[in-house]
Amino acid sequence: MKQSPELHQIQDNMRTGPLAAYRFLGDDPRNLAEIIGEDQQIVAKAGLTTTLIAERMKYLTKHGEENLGTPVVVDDTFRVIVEEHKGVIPCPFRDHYNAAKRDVTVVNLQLMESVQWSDLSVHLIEEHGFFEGVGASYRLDPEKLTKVIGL
Amino acid sequence: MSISATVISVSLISTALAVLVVLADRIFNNYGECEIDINNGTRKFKVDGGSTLLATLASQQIFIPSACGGKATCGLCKVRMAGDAGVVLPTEEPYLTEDEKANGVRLACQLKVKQDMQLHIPEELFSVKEYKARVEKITQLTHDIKEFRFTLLGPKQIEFRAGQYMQIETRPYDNVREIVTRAYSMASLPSDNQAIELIVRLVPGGICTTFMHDHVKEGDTLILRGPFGDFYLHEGADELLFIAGGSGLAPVKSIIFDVLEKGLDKKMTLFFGAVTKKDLYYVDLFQQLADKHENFNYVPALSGPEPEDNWQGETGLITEVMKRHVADPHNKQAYLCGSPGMINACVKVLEGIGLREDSIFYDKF
Repeated sequence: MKQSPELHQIQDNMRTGPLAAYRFLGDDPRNLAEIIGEDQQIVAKAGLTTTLIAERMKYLTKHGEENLGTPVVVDDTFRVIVEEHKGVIPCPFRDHYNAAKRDVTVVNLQLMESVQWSDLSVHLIEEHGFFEGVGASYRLDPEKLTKVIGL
Repeated sequence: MSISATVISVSLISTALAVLVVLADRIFNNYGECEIDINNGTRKFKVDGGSTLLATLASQQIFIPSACGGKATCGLCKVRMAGDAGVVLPTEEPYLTEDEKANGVRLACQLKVKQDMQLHIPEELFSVKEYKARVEKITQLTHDIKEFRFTLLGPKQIEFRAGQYMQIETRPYDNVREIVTRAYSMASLPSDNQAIELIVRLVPGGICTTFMHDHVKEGDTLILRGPFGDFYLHEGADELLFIAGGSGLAPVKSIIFDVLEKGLDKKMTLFFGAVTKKDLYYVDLFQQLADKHENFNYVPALSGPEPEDNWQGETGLITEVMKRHVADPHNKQAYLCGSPGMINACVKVLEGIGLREDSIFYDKF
């Protein structure tokens, strides 16, 4: 995937900017196009799509949100906690999507492994195929994510 | 040529180019004097054109709510233009509905003052001021919530209605170079008018909450703007229900204490929802208040108490607890402050009980 001037500008904005105290690219030395491209390959190799992954994340989020911050077990396999915080965070791709600040923690009780994402993570995966850079606080390794959420 | 001579040459060329850019900007972007007319002449002043409307208004001590510092990422700084203000910019598009566009609503941070302008803003924004304030005391209320007490340095007094909020301006820190503003409700009483208390819950990765929790120390001076907001006590009911979660307790605390201080004849119940005991705060404060005032009832509730909490109080989701306590909607108002999920669920329950929509007031995060 080639890094377009537009992606380059978005990348600059992600390294540091007014959006959040953390950096979306973490300490990943790859450029934005490489990060997206390489993660897309992992997803495709597993026979999945980012839409499918995002749908699964939304399904678990929906079950968790009904319990207002208290853990809930979904499908006898996933312990889900949805914590809401004050404010919204805009999408760094400048598509004017504003995500509520919600953290979703999912523990796969069979594997005893967990992942955490925000509403913005779901949007970034679904709309931009972006799982964030290695070292970023909300980086979701596609392999681990799909394993923990049971795909 | 030596390396130092090359460096000097490059520096001189760069400086000359920078001077040229500044001069060109002054010559070509000189829009002259422009008149700004707000609310049909309520405020009228002349300014040099060229700045954004948001910055221009701020230079005249008129502060439009904004959270992103003018980057067109929050969409809060909406003003209604009366005359022709030019075409809506692509940066504004996502934040404006078709109705708003038809009615001349624009983002003040994107609109440049290039000509005389007429606009409309809510009247209450005229009373918003910028305050320099010193952090007097920081109190850790829970593992992730801190209370900040500020002494106002100038102006030295503030007038506000219990339940309203202020905006804090951050300073650059760590890798964050931008200055942003964020809103926090006041927990203090309007009568305590030389100080302000704010409650800030740490949001993982939050630009302002990280600044407040990790970088602000007692003795620091910050810029606050306000008061803003329409979450305050409304006429029309003898019994008030307050439902809060997390830092949503701030405006509710202010309203409850204000009602008691003014001696208003209201029966009040505060429901505070948390997951475990470590998420509770101000417990002694409200318990003492309940012991002292017959017309105030305090109901803290835990949805997931740990065994070591030895919790003897109410348990369950705040919606379930509320259902157990509230049956009759007659002559009641409800004031809710907390996460959107909590508020949506509570509104559903309150409406189910029979509370009218216009008797439910809320302040979503």
